[in-house]
Amino acid sequence: MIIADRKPINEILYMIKDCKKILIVGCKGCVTVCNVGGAKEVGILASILKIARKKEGSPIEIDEKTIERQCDNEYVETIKDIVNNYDAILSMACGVGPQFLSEMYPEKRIYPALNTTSIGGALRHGVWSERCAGCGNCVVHYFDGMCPIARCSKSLLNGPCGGSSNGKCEVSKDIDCIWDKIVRKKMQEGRLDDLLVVREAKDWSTARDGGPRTSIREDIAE
Amino acid sequence: MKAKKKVLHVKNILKELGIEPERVEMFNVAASDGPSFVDFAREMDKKIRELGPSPLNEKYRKKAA
Amino acid sequence: MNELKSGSNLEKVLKAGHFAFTGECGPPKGANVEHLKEKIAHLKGVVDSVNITDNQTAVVRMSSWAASTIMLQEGVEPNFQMVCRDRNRLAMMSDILGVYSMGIRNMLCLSGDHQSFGNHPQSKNVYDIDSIQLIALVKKMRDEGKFMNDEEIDTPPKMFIGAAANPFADPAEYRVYRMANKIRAGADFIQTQCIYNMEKFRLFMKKAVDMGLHEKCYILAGVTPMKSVGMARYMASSVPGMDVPESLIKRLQGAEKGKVAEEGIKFALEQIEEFREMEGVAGVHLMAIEWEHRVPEIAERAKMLPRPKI
Repeated sequence: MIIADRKPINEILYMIKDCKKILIVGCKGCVTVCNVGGAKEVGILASILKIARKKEGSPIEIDEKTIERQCDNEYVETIKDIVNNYDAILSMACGVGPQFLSEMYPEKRIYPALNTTSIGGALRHGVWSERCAGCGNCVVHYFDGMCPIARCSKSLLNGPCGGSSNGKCEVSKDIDCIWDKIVRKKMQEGRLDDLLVVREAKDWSTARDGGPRTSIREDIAE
Repeated sequence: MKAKKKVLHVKNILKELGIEPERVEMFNVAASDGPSFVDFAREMDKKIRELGPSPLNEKYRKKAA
Repeated sequence: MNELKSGSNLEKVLKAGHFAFTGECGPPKGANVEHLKEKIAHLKGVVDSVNITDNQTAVVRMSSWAASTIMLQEGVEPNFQMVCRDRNRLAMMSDILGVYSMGIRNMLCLSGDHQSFGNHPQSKNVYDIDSIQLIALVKKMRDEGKFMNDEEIDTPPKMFIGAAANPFADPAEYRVYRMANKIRAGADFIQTQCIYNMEKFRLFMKKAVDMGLHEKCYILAGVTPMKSVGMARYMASSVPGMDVPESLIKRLQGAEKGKVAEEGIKFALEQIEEFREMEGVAGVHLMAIEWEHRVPEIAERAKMLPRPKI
């Protein structure tokens, strides 16, 4: 899923400083699953913002609405009858949400309440970790199911670098060295030969480096 | 445990907003332990009085200004 | 290895079977050419080639190619370092052509410290290709006369290709295989990370020799004299992939007041003596960080002088 974190409250307060009435829109997709932009978090953010504005002496009116997904126009459309009641809309979805909202409601000011961080999964309750960099050409099978593009700080295809220490990355002891894991698994499974090759430079044209990407399913595209 | 984490979270939010985090507190009291409950309530009452009116209180705010 | 690949002094020295001695020099954090020239002057005639670091520890400095050309003008052979952190493949290839045109013949290919270590941690990290792919690229440009995309190069750059090896990083048992991969990709010589744990290094070299790596590539052992107990402690605890045994720290602590640096040099000299005799070691790479002025003395005491002229 897409993982995100909430923006600092003061940053959000600054965005909406001139607004008297706003709508916070949540998303029932990924950000609900990673507990950052679902109905519950929308409610909490609304309370926080109301308290903050009351304290400042400029109370704000806030309504809440959580829609199925903000990355599908058919759901974004469901708020069309109410958007005009507000000075601004605060999207609690990943970076896609505020953009789809802006495209559908071009006259409205749309603000992001979240910082989108990565594509990943839940390690345990409350902890999410990056797994995919969306490079457009999956190579995890070469590395026993582990992606060095997303999980090595240097995206090395021929790792590990000289900074790998005790299974941790040179960047931080909080980051696992994925190359340490790859090498150990290869050795354990008797597949070390897989690594005794020079893996060629990656073609990044399928990644973001090739420009914004569009996926089309010819069989169903309208 | 879960409640403790949530209370801490609320305290952090209050701090971020510039409101004294001590305004929220959690105490562990057994259901049968009436006297402790009273003690905690008194302690909290005292603390709140020391802190003074809530910054969200309009009258207080006007006076402060 | 009959014909010279690059014709660099370092290559000639190694090929003639001499025990090579290379130095290192960090470009200035500014455009202070005079200071750079001073540092270079200390190294003139006492080493075969000098590594010019490329934004080492991800701190901005004068570019390694510019400092390399200044070094060349001063009559010292540079070993131009290039890291994968700051350039994509276009910039790499054009810089390789550029430095070759300026007369640079040695090049060390490195991944580079992550930018989060340095003074611009906000920067984008490039890592278009990794160090092993860079080695393969420089080799392809030299031997096939082609760019990465297979287009022909009009006058290909002939570089003596270097790579780094860290015998002390993890996973330890994989390190010799990684060095083998660098040799497979085309490394002509290897310079290792600073060695302090001799026991571990002996095992590493034994494995390398068993695999015949020393016959395919010249392996230079990395030496950095310890200046102080503080430096030893810092390297032991804060530099990833560095192995400083407690016994060395104790030895430095045991030195008389004012004699710690001398003890550090003594240890380095003992190391160099052992490397001379160690099977598979073709030379020493002395990284005397901000200690260039002590290199002549160390070279003298290590009986490295005079350097062969070929």
